[in-house]
Amino acid sequence: MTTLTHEHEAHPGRQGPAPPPRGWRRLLYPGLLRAAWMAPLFFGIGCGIVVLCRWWGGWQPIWFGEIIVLVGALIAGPIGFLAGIGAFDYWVRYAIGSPTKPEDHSGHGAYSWRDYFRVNTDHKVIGIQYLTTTIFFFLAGGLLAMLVRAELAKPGMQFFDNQTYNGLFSVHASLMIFLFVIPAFAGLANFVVPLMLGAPDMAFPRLNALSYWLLPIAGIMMLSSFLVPGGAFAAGWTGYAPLSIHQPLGTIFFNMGVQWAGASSIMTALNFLVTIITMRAPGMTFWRMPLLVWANFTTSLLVVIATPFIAGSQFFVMFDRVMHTHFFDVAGGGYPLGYQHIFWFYSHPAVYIMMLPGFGIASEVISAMSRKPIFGYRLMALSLMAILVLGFSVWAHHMFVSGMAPWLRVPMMITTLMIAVPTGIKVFSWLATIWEGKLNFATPMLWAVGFVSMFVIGGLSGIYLGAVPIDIHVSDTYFVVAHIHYVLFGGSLFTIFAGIYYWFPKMTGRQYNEKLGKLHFWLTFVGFNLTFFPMHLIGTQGMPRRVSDYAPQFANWNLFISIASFALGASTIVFLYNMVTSMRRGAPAEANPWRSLTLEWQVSSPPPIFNFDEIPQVVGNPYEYGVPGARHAVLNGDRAATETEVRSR
Amino acid sequence: MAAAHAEAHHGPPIANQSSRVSASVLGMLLFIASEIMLFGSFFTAYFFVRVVNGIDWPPHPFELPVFVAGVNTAILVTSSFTMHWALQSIKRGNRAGLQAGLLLTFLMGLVFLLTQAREYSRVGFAPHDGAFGTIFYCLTGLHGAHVFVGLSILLFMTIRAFRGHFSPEHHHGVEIGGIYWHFVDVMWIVVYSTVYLI
Repeated sequence: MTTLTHEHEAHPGRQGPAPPPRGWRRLLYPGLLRAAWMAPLFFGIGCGIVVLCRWWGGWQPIWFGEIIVLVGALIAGPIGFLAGIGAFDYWVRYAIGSPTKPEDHSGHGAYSWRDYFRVNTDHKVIGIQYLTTTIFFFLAGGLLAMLVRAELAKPGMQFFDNQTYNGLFSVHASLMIFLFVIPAFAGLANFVVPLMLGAPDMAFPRLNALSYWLLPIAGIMMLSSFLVPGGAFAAGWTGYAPLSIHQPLGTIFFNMGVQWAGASSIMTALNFLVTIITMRAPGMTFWRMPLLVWANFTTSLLVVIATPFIAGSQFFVMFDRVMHTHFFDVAGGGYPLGYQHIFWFYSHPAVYIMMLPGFGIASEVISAMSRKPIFGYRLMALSLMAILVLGFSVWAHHMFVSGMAPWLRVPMMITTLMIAVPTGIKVFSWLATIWEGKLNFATPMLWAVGFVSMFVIGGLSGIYLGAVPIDIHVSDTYFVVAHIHYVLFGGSLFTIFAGIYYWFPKMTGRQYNEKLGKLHFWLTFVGFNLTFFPMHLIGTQGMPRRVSDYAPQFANWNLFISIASFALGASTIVFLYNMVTSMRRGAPAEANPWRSLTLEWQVSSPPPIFNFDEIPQVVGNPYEYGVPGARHAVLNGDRAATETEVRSR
Repeated sequence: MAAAHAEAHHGPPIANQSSRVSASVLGMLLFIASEIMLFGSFFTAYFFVRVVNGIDWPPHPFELPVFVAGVNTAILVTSSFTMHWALQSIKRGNRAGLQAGLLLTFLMGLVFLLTQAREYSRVGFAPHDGAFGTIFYCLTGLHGAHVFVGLSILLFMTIRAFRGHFSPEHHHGVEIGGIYWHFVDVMWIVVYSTVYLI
């Protein structure tokens, strides 16, 4: 039954883009070479506009460093880079009414490693671009965390001064949130969602390519803030005003980095929504969509609606800084608490943006690996929607001690506790799916089950924090640090690993090393708990977060946590080694190693360049494991494997 | 299967259209939803300053040019009608109507933006003159930036219209750009009534 693979699609001679011209014309050919001169050119243009405006308006000094950096280096330069690599070529030709190149699909697919370094419109290539980029920033953020733990190993000051230390944890958090968790989910979904829907690509492939290329810009911007005078942004990833307004120059690198990353995720979300609504295969009703698609549908709605609010909040901070406006300045009539309201109105939904796709991955993995239909499919989907709606009504639970209007506390507490209901529905449904299943504890399943157990701990400490009295007691302590790492590390990161291992055979056409995968899981799982569980204890005892020095009574636990965290960091080496060696020399993967029913597994590994020869016909639900004769889809006039046949293989 | 093999290398299969709304219109509507939320964050700042802090609006020595801005509003609202006329013209195959409509819309938008700039230079306060100045400049400035984007789109549509693109069958570019322009107009009515009138 491997007739479903499309060998004939593999490589019928080299397709792909025409080879670049030789000589000086190469400088005009879209790519990194053109970006190398267009970025400085646009930087110059940006500086010129600033100087011209200041000269015309009579502002002194005409050459003002901060605005030059902002407009030249953080806005115009990146636009030049994007224009250089060719992200706008098609649109520029369209806009001025020139004949656009007929679509020959030359920008589609990857034939050599070079194709990953150009503007590529293939959702599968973009998915892999996303994943490798985000893993790079994951490593960078992880190394920063190691530096933070090195400083905290002993009371007193070891390696860094206070400002540098603050910069370390701020950049750590920002990279992990904006450059790893959110885009890594977008990358996995980019690869998988069009395949799952039976679509040849995303709805807007060129927009998809553009939204990927915004990411490296945002990440490099945040990392490079270490190089500017005054050091990296140091007001935490939350960047509370008015503190952040009076920080050194590095802060605007955060403000603008968030804008680029936010623009990227809004564009991707819009693309997902349109793809899911308009490009489903015939027969794929909303109630036949895999839960991963549901999860990305709700996440994308959250992104489209909420992300503009963080854009707004960072604009305000930037304006207060460079234009001396008074958004958050009491003396000028501003409202300092406004920042926290606007920021958390995005950043609480963002917690679900960082979690819901993980719920989707866990549902896929757990159902396929338990050989049982997912328990309560419709309620699983509806609880995603419930989280989406409730997620917008809880933001002020981050502000119980901020001095906001006291009457806001109790309503926010009630809505916060209510969110535990749909989340609980999901957890119990996963458990019920596993219950009496024929469990296959391959690496993805280990991560998925590890996720469910760790997420329950993180979720429960979240309920503690949602209750006003407890929150007042543990606010800004390590209890909060423990909570956020249990939901974002034990929750999001575990599902990202589950997803990477689960779809690794599909993405690369090779199987990862199962032993190393399991070793990676157990090292991470143990290291993670040893690192973060004790933080609950020292948190309740009152150790404050975001400090580089602490009372000697916490010394022992902190040394223990630091040692455990280094072990946790080292476990990543196993992952990297496994990925790199398996990608190059792993055993060739079957089309459907997990015997899954969803559509992406019914094509070859890696999938053909346009996913399907013909659009499949969906005839049933995606999780009918163990149901004799059940099938999800029919492909190419061939019959897709029925569950009975899959089992008899 | 042989036929499928022969066609396999020519391109992707045609995607199934699973919704009656076209992808580009839906994309533009979602983008506008996101834009509305961006304006929403600015209006939240407005709410905090004007309602929660309760400052005078406008504070004593300053005055808002309600009449000039009102005329400007009328210009912008009219441009929405010419935009609609342009779209209806090309739907009926009337190219001259499309060109005239787009050109008029573009010119009215430009007049709006220039009037706004003129107003900035004469209004008598700056963004750093207290929270009132901050909110005034940031809300009208955010809207001005959107007018600028809308004008760029209009310019591109006009160029294409004069170079012979668009037809009764293919006028998606006009339709989608038009939706954005209507959004910019409606948003201005909201900004005008909250900042100038009430």
